[in-house]
Amino acid sequence: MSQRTVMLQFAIFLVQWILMLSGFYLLAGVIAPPRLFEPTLEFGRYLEAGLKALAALFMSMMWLLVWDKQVRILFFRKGDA
Amino acid sequence: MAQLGSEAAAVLLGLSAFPLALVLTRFFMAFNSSRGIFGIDVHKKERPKIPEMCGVSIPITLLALSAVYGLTTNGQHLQAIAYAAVVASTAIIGAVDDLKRMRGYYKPLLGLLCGLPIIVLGLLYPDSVYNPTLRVPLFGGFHLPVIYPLTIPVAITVTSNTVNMLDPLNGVMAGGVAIMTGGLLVGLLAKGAEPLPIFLTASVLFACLGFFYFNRYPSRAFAGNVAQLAVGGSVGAFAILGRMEIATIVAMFPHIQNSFFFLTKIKRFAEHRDIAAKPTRVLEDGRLASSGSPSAPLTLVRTMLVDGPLPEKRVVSRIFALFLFSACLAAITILLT
Repeated sequence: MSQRTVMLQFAIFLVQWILMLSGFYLLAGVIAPPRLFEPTLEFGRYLEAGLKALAALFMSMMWLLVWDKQVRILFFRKGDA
Repeated sequence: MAQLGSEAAAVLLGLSAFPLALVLTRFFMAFNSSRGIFGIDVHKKERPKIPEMCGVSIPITLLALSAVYGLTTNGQHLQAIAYAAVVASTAIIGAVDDLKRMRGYYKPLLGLLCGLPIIVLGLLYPDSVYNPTLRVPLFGGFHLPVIYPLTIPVAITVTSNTVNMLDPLNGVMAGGVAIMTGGLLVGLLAKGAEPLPIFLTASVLFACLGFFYFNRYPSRAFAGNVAQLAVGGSVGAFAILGRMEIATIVAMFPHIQNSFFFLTKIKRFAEHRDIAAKPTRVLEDGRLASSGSPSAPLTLVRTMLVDGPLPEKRVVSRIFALFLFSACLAAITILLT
């Protein structure tokens, strides 16, 4: 049995797993710590949480986009998809 | 239970799911056959009729064991109730879909309601049901007091529907979930986790294995939406209640890929039976082949067939290999968390 498909799929999962851990590093180490608004500002805390959640959402979409590109390039290049 | 060691007791209680699910599946095979509840195995040339909805044995097993766990442990009955409510409500939606054929978008919408018991119990008894601090591997945690409860219904409907979408061939749902929960259980035991997540993963693992005995290739029993949605709901619930959200996402990589590529191609919530361009076809010699249709969804089964036609059993083996790999990554994720 040709194992090429399974091996490529393993590689995709491994890349996605590493990207996920890297994303958490970015969230925990870079995006979450800075204070964007003065603590005295009304709703500042909520605005900051919202902006950081948007950053996390954007990163999740990028993560799925990378997944999509990998599968299409590795398995469905011949125009059957 | 206190004499045994709470982790060992949790595993033993989970282990009892195997004979219970096995006996119940056998019963429902006979019962559903006598009631004319059959499904067609469309990936066989002969298209045999197989007793459908036999996987109802899984939610019944999970409900019985969560009741026993809730009654025999101190201070964890609320989590057992929340878990049982999610399993029961997702199973009911699945049973209605099996019997009444709901439209594609009903299941995701109704699935949102299935997460409510966790939120309501969490609001009534703060810090006793779920913890809104998301634990992430290597980098500590994020305290999300507002966002976390809002994501619970989404998590339950996503896990239940994504498990529902990946049961195309004999044994894939039960075997795949058994492998992924097996990986999670190994990770939890290696880490020395709390008894609750150990019990929840063990019970799903052994309930799925009990059903898998009859559902494996060539299938003698079909799960039905009742089992697929309930198993998916239980996966979402144990991820939240057992505080292993990230590891569960990793374990579900095959599910995520299958659902993501199905939805990006079809661009709506649709039942497989409603899709004109099927992703696979059965050849004259009984092997499965990719349909090659540009409008067919890029399912995981279709991806496994890009190199050429394969017998159904080999495709299932390949999918199990993917589950095994993601389960290993999930176990490592638990150890890193």
